Amino acid sequence: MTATTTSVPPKAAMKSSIWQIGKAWEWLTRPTESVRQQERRRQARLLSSMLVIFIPLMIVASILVPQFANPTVTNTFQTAIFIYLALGAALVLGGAYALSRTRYYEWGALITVSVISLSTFAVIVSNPAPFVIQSMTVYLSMALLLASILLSLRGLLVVSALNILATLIFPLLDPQVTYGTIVPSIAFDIIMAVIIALSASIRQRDLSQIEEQSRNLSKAVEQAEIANKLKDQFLANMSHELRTPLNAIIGFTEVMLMGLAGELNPQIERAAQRIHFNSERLLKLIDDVLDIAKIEAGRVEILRRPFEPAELLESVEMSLRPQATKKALKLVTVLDPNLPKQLFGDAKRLEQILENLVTNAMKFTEQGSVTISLQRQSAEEWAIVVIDTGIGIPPHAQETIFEKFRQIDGTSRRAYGGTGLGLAIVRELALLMDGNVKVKTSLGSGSTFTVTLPLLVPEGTSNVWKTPN
Amino acid sequence: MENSKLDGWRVLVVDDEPDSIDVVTMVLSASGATVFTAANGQEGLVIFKQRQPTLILTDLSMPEMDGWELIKEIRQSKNGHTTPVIALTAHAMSGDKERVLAGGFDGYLSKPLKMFTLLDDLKSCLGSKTPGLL
Repeated sequence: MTATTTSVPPKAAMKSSIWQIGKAWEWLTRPTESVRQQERRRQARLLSSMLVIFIPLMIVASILVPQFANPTVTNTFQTAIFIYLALGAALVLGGAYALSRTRYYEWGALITVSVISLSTFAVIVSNPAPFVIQSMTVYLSMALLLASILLSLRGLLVVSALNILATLIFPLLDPQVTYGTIVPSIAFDIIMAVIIALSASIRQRDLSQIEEQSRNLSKAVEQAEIANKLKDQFLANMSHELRTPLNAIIGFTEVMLMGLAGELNPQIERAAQRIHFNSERLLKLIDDVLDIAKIEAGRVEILRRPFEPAELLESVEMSLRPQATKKALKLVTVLDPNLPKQLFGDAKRLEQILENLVTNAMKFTEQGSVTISLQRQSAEEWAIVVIDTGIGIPPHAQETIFEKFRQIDGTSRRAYGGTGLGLAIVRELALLMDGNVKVKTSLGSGSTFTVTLPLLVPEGTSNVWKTPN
Repeated sequence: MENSKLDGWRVLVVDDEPDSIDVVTMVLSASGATVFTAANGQEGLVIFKQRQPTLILTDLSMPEMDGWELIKEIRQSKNGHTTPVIALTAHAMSGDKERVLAGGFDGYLSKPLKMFTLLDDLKSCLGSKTPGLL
């Protein structure tokens, strides 16, 4: 026995502090949030980045433009204050922008709104020329837009009203500014407020819809997952519950047939043999039904691992030879001279396909042979071919033989036995492996089943010549 | 079928299904083994400590203490890390085999067990671990 405990590699301990910082950064910048929050954060970031670029420019412009427009305004003290204001605003806005990229985006947006509103207000108060007021209202509207992201529709309307009120105050502060001069700017305020309110309400409605859809979707996914888990659980339980009594039935019958329960008279021995044969049949049926159920539940995984095709064919031939001998059939395996030593594929499932095809072929062949081969069709395509010299399949049945529980008719099931699931499993498995199955048959002289599958040759695999024995 | 392939072997069979125990016991004792039985892991552990069997066959899902806990207890107890333990289970879903081997078992036989080939199956399960077998 080898110890199975694993120790923590020392590297992990060294990495942990960096790892923790990384984790913290991720926690800060990639919060788990609802659709609405995600949308808000995205918009807050967008607007913040726009404002970070425009507001400082706007403040500088508002200092310079009035001085060019009106050379009498040359108060250097005022100019210095504006420059400090512009720098401070740029600094605060930069910080606010950084915040808006994190889970604290609301604080970032709030700071942006306050800075814009305050600085705009400050600019207007200190230089209440109609031109400045009108250009300021544009930027105030941007603040409004940002507020619309963070506030409800009602809150947004309050902010708009305050905005208009603020504009209305200016004529009172400076007798040079009359109400006539600010009419365009108030009109602009009102139009902007209406547009923003409308777009915000549309966005809110869209968001609610998206939210509801995503809620429904995740609920459906959750339910599907639960249903699948229950189905898995059910399959596993059924498999267990069916096998447990069969273990006793097959076990005791074999114990009897081994003579461990005393000498058997011929009649009892024959009865025991029939019990044994039929319980094996039942076991095969249970295995097939569970296989089909697993395939249909999407619970069969196709593994792609290197395997040795020659070995696979040999093992199938070995395991089915006793049945062939019992019916005096020749079981022949033909190995393609170009068969590579290895192929990529699910050997277990390929074996299942081969076993089902060969068992089926032997069931419907009374004399002659069953031939198994694996042939290369193209660079990446291989064909499993099983040829028999049996009774063949009438044309009307060729479509349905791959359906579950189908045999040509009820009488044939009684005559030939079997679960009627073998070919259905073959087809399902072939489809799972991105392949297909076809049958060519002529009544009375036999059938050829061909399963075509993509199987890759692992790199560096040499081709081997293996003579069939 | 009289033979002595398992002469001198002391086998503990743990299973909550009396029929499963009976049928395995019949085959093992006919081969010369001394068989101890237990209906769950708890009993199995007690008998393991008392009798020091040379081979343990245990079911996986059992009341009280299941096969997974039993193997943990056995592996931790005195002489327990070398005793071969084989899981017998009616769960035949894919991936079970890997889980069983990872759980510390030496091998795995799925139910229904084949009585005709039980001894050979045990042998191939154990591989080189038990040179004395057969």
